Amino acid sequence: MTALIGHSAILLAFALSLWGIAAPLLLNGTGNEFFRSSARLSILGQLAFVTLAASALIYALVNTDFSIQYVAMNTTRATPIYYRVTGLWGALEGSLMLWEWLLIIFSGLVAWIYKERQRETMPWVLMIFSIVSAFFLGVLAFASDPFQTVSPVPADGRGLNPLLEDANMMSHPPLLYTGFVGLTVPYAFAMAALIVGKADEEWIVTTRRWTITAWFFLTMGNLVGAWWSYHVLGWGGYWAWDPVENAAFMPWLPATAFLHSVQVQERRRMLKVWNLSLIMVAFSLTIFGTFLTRSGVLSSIHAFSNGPVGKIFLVFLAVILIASFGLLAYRADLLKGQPQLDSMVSRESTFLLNNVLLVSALFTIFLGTIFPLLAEAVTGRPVSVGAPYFNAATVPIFLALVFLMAIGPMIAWRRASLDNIKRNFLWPAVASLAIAIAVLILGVRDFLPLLGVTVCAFVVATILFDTALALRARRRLARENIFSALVTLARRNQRRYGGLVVHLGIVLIALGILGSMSYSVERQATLGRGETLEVGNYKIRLIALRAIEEPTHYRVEGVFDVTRGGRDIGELAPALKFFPNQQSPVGRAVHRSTFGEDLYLILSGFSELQNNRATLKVLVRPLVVWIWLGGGVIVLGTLIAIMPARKRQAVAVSSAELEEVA
Amino acid sequence: MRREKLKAVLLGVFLSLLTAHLLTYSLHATQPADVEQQAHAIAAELRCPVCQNLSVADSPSELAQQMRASIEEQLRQGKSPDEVKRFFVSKYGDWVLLAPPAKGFNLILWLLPAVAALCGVILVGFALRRWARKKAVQPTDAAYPSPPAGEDRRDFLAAEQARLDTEMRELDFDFQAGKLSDADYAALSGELKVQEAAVGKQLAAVPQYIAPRHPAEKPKARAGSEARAPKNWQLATGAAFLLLLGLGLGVLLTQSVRSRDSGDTMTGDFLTGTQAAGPQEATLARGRAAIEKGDFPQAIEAFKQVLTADPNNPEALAYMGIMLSQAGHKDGALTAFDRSLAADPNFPLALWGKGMLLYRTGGDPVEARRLLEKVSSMMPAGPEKTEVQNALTQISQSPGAPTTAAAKPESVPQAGTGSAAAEGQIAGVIDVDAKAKANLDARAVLFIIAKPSRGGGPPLAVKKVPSPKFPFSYSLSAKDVMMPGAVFSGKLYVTARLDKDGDPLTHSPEDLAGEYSKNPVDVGSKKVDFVLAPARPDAR
Amino acid sequence: MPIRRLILTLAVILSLVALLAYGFFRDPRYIPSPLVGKPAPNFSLQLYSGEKVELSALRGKVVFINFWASWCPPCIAEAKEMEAAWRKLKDQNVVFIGVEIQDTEANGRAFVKEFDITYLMGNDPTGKIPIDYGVWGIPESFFVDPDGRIVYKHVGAIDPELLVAKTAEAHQRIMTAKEGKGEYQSIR
Repeated sequence: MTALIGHSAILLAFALSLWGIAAPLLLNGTGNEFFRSSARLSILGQLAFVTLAASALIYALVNTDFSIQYVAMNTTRATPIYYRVTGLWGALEGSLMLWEWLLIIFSGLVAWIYKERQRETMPWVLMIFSIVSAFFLGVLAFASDPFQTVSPVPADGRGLNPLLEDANMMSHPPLLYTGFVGLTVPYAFAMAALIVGKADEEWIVTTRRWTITAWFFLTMGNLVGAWWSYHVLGWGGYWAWDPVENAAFMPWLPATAFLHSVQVQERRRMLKVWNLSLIMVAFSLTIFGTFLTRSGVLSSIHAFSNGPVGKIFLVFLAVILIASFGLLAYRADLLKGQPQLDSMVSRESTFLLNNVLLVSALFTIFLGTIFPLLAEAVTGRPVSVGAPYFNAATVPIFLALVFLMAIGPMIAWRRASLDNIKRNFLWPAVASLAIAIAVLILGVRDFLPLLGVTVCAFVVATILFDTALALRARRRLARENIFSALVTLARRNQRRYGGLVVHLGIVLIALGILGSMSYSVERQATLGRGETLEVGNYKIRLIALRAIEEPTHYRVEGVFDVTRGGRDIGELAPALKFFPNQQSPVGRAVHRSTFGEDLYLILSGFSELQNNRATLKVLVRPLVVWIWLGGGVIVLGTLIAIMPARKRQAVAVSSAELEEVA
Repeated sequence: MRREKLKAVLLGVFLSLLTAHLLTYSLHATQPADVEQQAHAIAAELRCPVCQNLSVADSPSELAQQMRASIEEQLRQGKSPDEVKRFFVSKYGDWVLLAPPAKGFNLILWLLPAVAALCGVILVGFALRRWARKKAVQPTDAAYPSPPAGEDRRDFLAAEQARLDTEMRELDFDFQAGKLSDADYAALSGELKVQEAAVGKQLAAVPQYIAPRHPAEKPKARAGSEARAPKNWQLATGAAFLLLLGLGLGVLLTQSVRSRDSGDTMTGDFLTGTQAAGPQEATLARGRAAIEKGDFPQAIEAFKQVLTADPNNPEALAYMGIMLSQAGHKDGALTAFDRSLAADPNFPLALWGKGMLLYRTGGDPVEARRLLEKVSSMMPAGPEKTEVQNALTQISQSPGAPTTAAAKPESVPQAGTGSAAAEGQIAGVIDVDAKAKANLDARAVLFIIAKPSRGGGPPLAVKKVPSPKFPFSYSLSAKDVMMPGAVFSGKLYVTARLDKDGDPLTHSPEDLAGEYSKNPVDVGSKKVDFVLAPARPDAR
Repeated sequence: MPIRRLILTLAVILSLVALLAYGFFRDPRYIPSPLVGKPAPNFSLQLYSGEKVELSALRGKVVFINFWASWCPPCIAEAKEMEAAWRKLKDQNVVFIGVEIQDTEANGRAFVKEFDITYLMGNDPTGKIPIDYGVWGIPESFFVDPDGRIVYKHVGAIDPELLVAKTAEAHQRIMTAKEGKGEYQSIR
């Protein structure tokens, strides 16, 4: 019954999405207003049906309705209710369902918010949404049906992949998917602007908040993914440069580039083609990522099982790319601007440089990801491209980008004189050099960390210096106290100060990565009961091995007593979990975080026969915690940037808004 | 003059970034001194051959452990890190290196990004210079602003004015904050004012107009953009082209991939709609055909494929069981049959397979008899039915077997493979005490556990049986061992637990538990029979 | 109509898609061996029978080396036929060696008994021999010619006819660079 409801809802939504594609075309042909409202209604109808289908699937999961194959594959009777719900994105079909659901929620929001505005482009925007939605619904209805029934009904299900039984899995995929789906909004507006031939900045202004929101979710999705990897995968790292991780990270790069370069377009009416390309690339990369994850073309720890879906996504990717760039090429004449700059040294040019670097990083990662395919296609011999390559090739680019974070927001628009550079950067440069020397004296002698710390310090110093100057002026002008001056400043220019806070967050993440990359210590040893392993300041003593019977598995824990510099910091118990239907055990690492460093313990084996001997892997990773704290700072910055503005702050007014006023 | 200086500064910045780039490359050449650290560094650069995508350093796999040991040993023998890496390359090829060596085709990987980045920077540099030159030639651009014709003109100019306004405000504030010198401020604000004036003049020249308020006036509003909006035939052509391209690509992909040799498992059914009529039918048919031909590897592959998609497919499980029993793997076969019967208690093939297996190996004549009687009643007459009936006669003739639950497995004729398979296992019958039997739950799950010690400590082997039927005859063997590599031997404590609702989260007092009275037992023991009774609440 | 731009765009996109589509035609887990054509790495193996076998002592004979484990289904599937092939070939100056890896000796002995295997069988507890041979998926078989050179490698279950044919080729020192492939299981 549930299966029937769910499947019918998907089919109905699919039919509605086809109507949603046809209606704007009919509107364009006939001018009949009926088609305008029906395009909107089709989106809202899809929203209703997809919500129904998704609810049906969740209902089936929660009630362990094993007559539905997806439920039988991803839950058991023993699964706690929490993980039954997360089973929605535990496997291929459900994750596509979640994607479609988020997509249609975004579409519905857009259709709702722009009910009266954007009359000319809106039907086309909705058409793009309907096309993407029709694709996902088609896949759900005909190729990868989450409501496929199984007969006879099995007595018990197979259960979720044990690695997914973790609290972070609650948030990681939905966050990432929200980011991916969010990019559809600026993409749809860009395509609509191209279709109607409005080559101005309107679509950028309209989608500004949407883009920042999507970027934010993308950032958070990646960070929580890294956190999950660190926390659950139990190998002690947070980023492995796995193809699927790269696929999730790649859209972030053009999205970030886009956020910066649109500012140049808003001010100078140039880079039109460039910005359109960026958003098209970003959107295509989200589809590319889905393709990689679902096709099994590249081997990855995170891949879903193979099936026809990979091929369907490849075809869709091809169609998206050709349609987008074909339209762009077709409209190129319309987009010709008269780019002019006052000077080669200006904020405009730094933003451009930032774009070049971000796109270079994207290109490097993309090439590295698909190079095994390329090499095998050309030479016939497979190669591997992994962390050593990606670290060597991208770290310099990212360092340069961090450096630009100091320059870009401070250097003058239009034209920066030497005097302007001196005023903005002299003191911060001095401060960062002083910090570099201090760090050098404290014992950091390696080149990369030293350079990294200097660059990071420089960014922080410029931001603090700039804010201090602005605060002083504000206090002089308005006689406010520091706090209210700060609030006024941020309120007056939310995007700028939100952006600066985000930059601070990025710097924290960079420091965390730098520290943990350069100064991690790893030791492995087999300990008997009472024996001690020394790593750095830590002394780790095996107290006992114990076994615990858990609802879904057996758990073998090594209990270790840990002291740091002689001070007892408690017991840590890394474990191995044995699931009945898994060939090898699943590790459960534990870690103790401080602001300075993380102690990370992995139980890699034990032996009952040899009297309670446990093999332990110990990692001491400095500064990791700052990566997660940086994420928190980014949340704050984004909130500042997208906070609803006060009326008179509307900087650039869209023509539709003017139309209403007039 | 000043501009030249700035250029020099910018050049300096680029050069220093470039050196940074080069230096970080060279950093990877420096090696730590300590052998353990050195081994770790090497392991981090090698790819684990059996993992999805992990380095040897990070992989928990057995092979990676052995490779790490090998690295350390070679280092201790005095080999250099490069020699160690070369050793592994000679065994696994360049594939094993996570950073491909920069030679031959791989140069593309190493050089292309750097070249692309450099080209990007140079291109942008040139573009910037050109755009700046343009401005320099016409200091106050005569063509500024250049609004579009038509009704958008006013919008454009108004937006431009608002923008200039903001820019002016920001410039003022920056000047107040002391970020600009007087001269810079004067120059920039002067320019802005000229532009503002130009925009203001044009704006004044645009006649006021009344924006359309009603949808009815729409056609007029569209007039301005009509020239640009695409005709429907254009859209239709584009869409048709895309559709054809997509379909072509899809068909091409699936057809070509399908015709691949069947050694791979990625043959998908691309939108063929076989989903509705039993998704696995085609694969199942392939497996059946392979069994007919006696091509077991092919059959195993087909059924495994079915089971990945549908882990409880009774037919695939039954066939797996039959192949396993033919290969002499009794336990594996029994597990497969039991899973098949759990999915469909009346699946004839599984009934037959399990019945015949139990009959031949003498595992549990009572159960064998029950199964064979059931399947016999479902079979049409023929040689196969005769075989089953012969087996049934054999069972009832064997002494002591007919009806009592305490059957003597030893007394049943043994088939050739049975004796070998029975070694290295613990077997017996578990029953439920009479009182508890009345209110057994169909969803109950039986856990049979063998531990090397009483009480705590990890279990050596566990068997999970959903919906068991009592008396339940079981066997534990090396197949049920939880830790890969652990040896199923020695003296073991055998216990069992029946979880009432199959949900171990809820430890209901009605859960049943029991253990063998003469624990511990030797591996190889048979008749390890015991009875389950309500567990005491504290007996966990 | 900017035809040239459109064609260029199309060409770039289609070549990218073609490259990605190529991914469907390969097994991303497959690792071709650089050992074919090279001298077979020497090893000595403790056999279940109690004797020791040294590969270097078998010069002049064709040696068929098979890596296996008792937990690997394709190994079980090929066991009977491999023994049959051995009985057919054993008078033809051929030595079969089964190297049990990542498994216990007890399991190995049971396996030998179960399938009544009469060729040389032994357990490698160190895990060094599989690394020397670059083993990653079992069963994995190597054919060594009388000069001690690897002339053919087969990953996965091997067809008995192919086994016989390749042994004959090994006698004539004919090398096959292309590896054979059957149903395999990754080692652990």
